[in-house]
Amino acid sequence: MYRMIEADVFRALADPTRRAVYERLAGREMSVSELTAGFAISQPAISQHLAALRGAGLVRERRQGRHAYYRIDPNGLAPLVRWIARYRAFWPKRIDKLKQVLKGMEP
Amino acid sequence: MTHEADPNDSIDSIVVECDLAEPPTQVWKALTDPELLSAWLMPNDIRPHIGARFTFQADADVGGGIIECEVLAAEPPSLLRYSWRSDDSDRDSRDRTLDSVVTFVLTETADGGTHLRFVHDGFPIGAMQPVAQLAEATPTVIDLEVERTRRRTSPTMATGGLRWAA
Repeated sequence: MYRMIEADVFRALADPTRRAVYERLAGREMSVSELTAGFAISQPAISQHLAALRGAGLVRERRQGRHAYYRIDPNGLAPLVRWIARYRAFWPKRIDKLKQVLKGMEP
Repeated sequence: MTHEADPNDSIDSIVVECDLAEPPTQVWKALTDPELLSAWLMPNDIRPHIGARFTFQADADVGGGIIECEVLAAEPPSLLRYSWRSDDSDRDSRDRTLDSVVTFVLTETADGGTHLRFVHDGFPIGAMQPVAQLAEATPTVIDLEVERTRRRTSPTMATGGLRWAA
């Protein structure tokens, strides 16, 4: 189950424009038009990126009247952190096994 | 354990370094012979040539499934690098993958052994400095998550903490 969420986070951040949108929102909450002002792409395109980021749990939307504001979800990166932590535990164990294999090899 | 955490170790890379008694040619063989490689890593069909594609059958501790690799650099007996792509086979879409890169650098030591430097990096988080700053600004939430992860994966987590959560 975690793997699906992790994959969504990776995929969402693999796109350079989406990553840039995410990084801008890391600074502060913004409306779509504020956000669009900083990019050379259309508002609908920005909205699509926002939808992908929201789908991956990286960005939250706040509605106020007719306006919508976006900010990053601080928990959104947790799956990525978890994925990396898993490998951080994995590799030292495997390098230890490599040492055992080397000792058993014919030189 | 003989590995030491690399001073450059951080959220965007995993580094393991160690000295091995065996010469680089022998270590190279353990990294590139499918049978030897599977004895310490995972079942695979590696071919150590640039552009060669191969797969690992992933163990449960890294999420299972298939890991798709492509050799990016192969300079026997000193440099081996391949892409590391966990295929998310639970989903239909081909582009739902977790992309990263692993690198092995072998250097002969004065006593004829090998210094191994292993790096796993290329995560999308690598370019995200503002996010790291944000994490520092909101430590409680991230810290809790990291603490839970740490408990689940200890004790080897001690070889390199997630520094930006500190």
